[in-house]
Amino acid sequence: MNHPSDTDLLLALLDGELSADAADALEARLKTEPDLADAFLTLAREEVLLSQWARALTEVQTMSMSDFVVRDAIVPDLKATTKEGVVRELVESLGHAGYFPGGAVGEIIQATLKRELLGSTGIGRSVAIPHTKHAAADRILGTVGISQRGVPFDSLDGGPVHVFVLLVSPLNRPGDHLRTLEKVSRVLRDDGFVRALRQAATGDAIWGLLGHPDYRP
Amino acid sequence: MSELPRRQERLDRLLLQHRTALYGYVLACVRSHDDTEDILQDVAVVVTESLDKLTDEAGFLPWAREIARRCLLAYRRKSRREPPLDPELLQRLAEAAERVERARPTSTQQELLRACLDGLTPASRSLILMRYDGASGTAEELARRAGGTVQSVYARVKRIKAALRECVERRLAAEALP
Repeated sequence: MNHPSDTDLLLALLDGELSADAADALEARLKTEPDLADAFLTLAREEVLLSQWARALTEVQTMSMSDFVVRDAIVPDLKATTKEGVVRELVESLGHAGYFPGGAVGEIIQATLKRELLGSTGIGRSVAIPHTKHAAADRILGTVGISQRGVPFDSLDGGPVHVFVLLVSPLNRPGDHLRTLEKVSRVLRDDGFVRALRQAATGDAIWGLLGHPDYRP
Repeated sequence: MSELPRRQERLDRLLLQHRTALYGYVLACVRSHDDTEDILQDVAVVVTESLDKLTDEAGFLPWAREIARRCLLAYRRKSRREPPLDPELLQRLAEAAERVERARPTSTQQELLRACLDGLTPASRSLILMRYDGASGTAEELARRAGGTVQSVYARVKRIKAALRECVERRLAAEALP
């Protein structure tokens, strides 16, 4: 599909807003123009994804980060200085806490880094949320890592990242995965919370902040 | 675990994993969320009855999509929809769904869209949320919640969605670079 007006027509067809004649004409084109049919399918899927996103967002209010962060896997002082190193350190920390079999750790690291290739999960304001799905996770598992010196992470704002929340979701829980990502990204929009995390010196202090009622947007 | 719960678990996992892709195909065909939900229930019943015929899980989506196409044809026969669904169009859209899934898996589109939603201004994000959270039953209700006229609010939604689409395409293009 090359013409912007085709997008408008397809969206109007999807919304049932075209006249019968216009709908017939467009359906005739859909049968003979594969590119147009592909664009229509992509737009239909976009509608579904936007609905899923919005509904997930409305359900995250009752969730707390302590519902999925593994206390024993929190890393209050990350040693890594690179994106790959941080991902490795956080996934290994979940592995050491006993949540994945040894062989899965390497796969989860690779899958998380592969996801980063789609676009950095560094959302700016010194925060990143690396994530992936893997069969070794039987529920959503997360950990928090703090880097005092900051790590370059190709963030949206170009700045270094100090606060990392890594998430690993099971393959069969796409709704929960989405809700958890939304929860984390919402909570981390609170600059006061991010500042408090950076100042927390121990895993226990970080854990205490995660369930704190002041930080439950 | 006995055989039956394991089969049910496998079924639930596959249906959940591919629900968005199947939903997108059926929605493109019938253009109604209510009808799409009904048809997907029929699909789930047929998938449940014939899951044992599926030998390779990698082939689940095309297999389930073909079941969805047949359910759409059955729906065509029993519904009073005017004009009726065109079987050739259902077939062409199924082929398109297969091409799109291969070129751009649903999970990729979901990741990119989410990242692009995160990049919106709070006002734009809030408007898209209102448009899709299911609480705005009518255009007038959405306009009231968003504080504008129906026309102005829908124009804003259209602009934001166009920006989201551009953002997704930009990220996809960047991903394709060597």
